[in-house]
Amino acid sequence: MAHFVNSKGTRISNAIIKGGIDQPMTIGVYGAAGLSVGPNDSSIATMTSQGADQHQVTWYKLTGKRIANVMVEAKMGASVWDYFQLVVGEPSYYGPDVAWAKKPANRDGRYTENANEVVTKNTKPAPADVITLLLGSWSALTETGARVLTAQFMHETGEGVHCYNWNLGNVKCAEHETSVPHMYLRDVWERLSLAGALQMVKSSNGLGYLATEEECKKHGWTHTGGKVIAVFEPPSYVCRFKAYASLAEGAQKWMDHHRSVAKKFPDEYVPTLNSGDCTGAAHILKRALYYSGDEGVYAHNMTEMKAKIDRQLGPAKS
Amino acid sequence: MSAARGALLSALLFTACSHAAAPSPGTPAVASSANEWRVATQGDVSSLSIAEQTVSYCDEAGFHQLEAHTGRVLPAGGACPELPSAGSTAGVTVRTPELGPDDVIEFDGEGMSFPIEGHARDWASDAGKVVIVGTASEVLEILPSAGKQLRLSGRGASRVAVGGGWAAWWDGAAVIARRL
Repeated sequence: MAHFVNSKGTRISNAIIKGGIDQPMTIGVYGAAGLSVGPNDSSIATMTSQGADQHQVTWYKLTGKRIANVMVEAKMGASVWDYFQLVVGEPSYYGPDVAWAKKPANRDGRYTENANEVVTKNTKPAPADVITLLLGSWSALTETGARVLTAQFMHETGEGVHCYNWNLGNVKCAEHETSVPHMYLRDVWERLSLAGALQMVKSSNGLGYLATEEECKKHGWTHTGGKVIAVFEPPSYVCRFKAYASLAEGAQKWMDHHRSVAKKFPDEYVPTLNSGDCTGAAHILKRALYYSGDEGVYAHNMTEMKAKIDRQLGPAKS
Repeated sequence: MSAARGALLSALLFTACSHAAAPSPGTPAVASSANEWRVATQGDVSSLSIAEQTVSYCDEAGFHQLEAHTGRVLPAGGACPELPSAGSTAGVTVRTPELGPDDVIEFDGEGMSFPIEGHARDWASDAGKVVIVGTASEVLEILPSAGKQLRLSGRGASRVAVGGGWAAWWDGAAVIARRL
């Protein structure tokens, strides 16, 4: 039996759904073939088909035009098979449903047809591989030094859990930069003034929204000073990051930058790394503005990671 | 009439008619200070570049050029050509640590990082000597070798360019060219 569903696929037959003026929302109809679907008053809302998916759900973009209530029906002739009530009010930009153009990845795992887009895959580097890479390309490092730097990397990427397509440190693409291998990450968030966030969300073509307090708590998104959290979803350019083919390729920029830090602090950085001093290394990286978080926390986390690597690999040979 | 007075007159006219279309070719752009020009755009700006002190950009009305040292809008129009690079992004790395709310800008060979507030939308570098970064809420000029970071605008920009001692950006309503 045909029935209406929301963007998450949950049945909304007979329900009351809230929408905003000029704010499209995604609505689906299961088994819509042969039915006419739309609001019973087109001056209150309009509906355009977005095509069917492989689960027999036809998707529509439903947009409120003025403040009023309207019945949205799926009919065959005069017979109404399913309906829900749309309450059109002032637009709100809070909550993920506002991002009406947000969609799961295509069947091939990508979000666009761009030939340079790569499917987003978790690529968890093994500490031993990172250490081997460092020792093979940076002769000044001892094995202990390489382990300290690997601990820094492991801390930055949550032990590699948040490392995708060998992109160490989440290197970004510029807005128009689509000619390089890239991928999309979900839930990219930013703290903005309300005016700035609204402007970004309105110009995101349905790929952005303002986070509710509940979502902020759930994700640990903190905001103070009157700022709000704007969230963007693929394929928004805000979510576009570079993709690398291998650990060696992805680690190049990261290693080059640490070599530059060593040049900036010639008498301190490499000796500190090679002595196994995670606290000292965290202090130099703080002076190099590498991170903006708390130095004590950073040093503690690096020290823990280093101890974990040492337990895993045994004593360092140099 | 001096160029400065002409520019001031244009600015006053622009203020009186804030929805004015982009200036016609051959007329001065609007000056908001002695070293800054502003040209209203139509719709989205799809490309922006600076070469030989000329700012080139394409909006929904077509191709436009602004002579930065005089503020004169040059006769152009027509289809948008392949524009030169907005300033290379090579040598500049922008990363989002821990997928947090802020980005960090880094430069090849420079041991210092430059944390910024928010996410960079676009960035352009003039041979690594100066880098312009546009975010949702500001436009920044970064001088890597001096370790300095200056705010060029308190409005965001999604297109930026740099070259020949000038920076340019699109703030959603106008292309702004600023002498650095």
